Amino acid sequence: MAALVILGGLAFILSIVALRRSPLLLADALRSALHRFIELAPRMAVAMLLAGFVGKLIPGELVGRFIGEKSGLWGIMIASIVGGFVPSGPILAFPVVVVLLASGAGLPQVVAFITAWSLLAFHRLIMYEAPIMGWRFAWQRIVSSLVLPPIAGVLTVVLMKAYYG
Amino acid sequence: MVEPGNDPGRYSIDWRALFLDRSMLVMTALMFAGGVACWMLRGRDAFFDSFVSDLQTFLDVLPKMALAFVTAALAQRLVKREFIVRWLGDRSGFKGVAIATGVGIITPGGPMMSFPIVSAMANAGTGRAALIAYLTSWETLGFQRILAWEFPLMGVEYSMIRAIASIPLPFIAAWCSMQLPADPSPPEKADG
Repeated sequence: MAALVILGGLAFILSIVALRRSPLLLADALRSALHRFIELAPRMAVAMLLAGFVGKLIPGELVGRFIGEKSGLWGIMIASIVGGFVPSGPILAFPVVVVLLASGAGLPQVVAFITAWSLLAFHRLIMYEAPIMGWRFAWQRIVSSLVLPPIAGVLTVVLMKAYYG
Repeated sequence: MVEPGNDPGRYSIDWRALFLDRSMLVMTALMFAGGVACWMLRGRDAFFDSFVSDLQTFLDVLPKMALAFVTAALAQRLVKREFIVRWLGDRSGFKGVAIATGVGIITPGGPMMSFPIVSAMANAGTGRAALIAYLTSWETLGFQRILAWEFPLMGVEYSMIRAIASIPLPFIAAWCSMQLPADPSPPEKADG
């Protein structure tokens, strides 16, 4: 519910800003948003069903044992490594995360997983980063990022302690 | 992944490309295989249980995604690439890293937007640590990914916890990159 309100509010405010600048700008943006929506909605449906079936096939206790709330630092490390090897865009990665959470993965472990996936995204590295910035820069960035997913996971543990007690 | 938002010339919907794209076909094939495996190994009830709850999640996410795409499309048109590059300029040191982090958060669009920006920043003399901070920030804190994917799918509370836990990351990445040996002729970049 909160997400719907925030997203609706932002879309409304930006629409007003764009409308004041030029109605054409708003029309252009709405058309491109519609295009992207039509393009992504069926993929999203397929990805969610796929992730759901896989979630049913993977035994819940396996997810809980390796990356559950109680798996602690080990779980954070495992999630960091696995997340770094997810070779897909957000369409599949986020439904997978939803299924992982539903099958008993812990929040800090999931944060480490998403951080690793978003920092190391292999397809982006090959398609954009290496061709545009060169391999030397790409490797320097990846080496500099290796410690980040576990740090994000540990910080989530700290935040949850502070927030939920 | 196609990003039609960055391509203002293409609005007619190509239905063939929509459904016959390779990643879509692979995902659909995997979905059917997963469905069959689920039915056979876990039973009919597990299959329908998964099917119905996933469709419910999908319908719940759909309006949020639509709003997020409108926000993203507007942001891409209101935040100009030149503005982002000029803002960062050739600043370096802690201040450069802090500004790079802030700019990374507000950079809309996918890799088609961010990597040309990084390339232009490198040409403008932005240091390696600031470039790495920028990319780390865009990847872990970028508002567009949070709005378009995390808010609809994971909820606001989870998104906020993850975002707050990620605020130090660009600074840590920049610090790590400063420990790496210096480039022979900085800033190193590829031609073309």
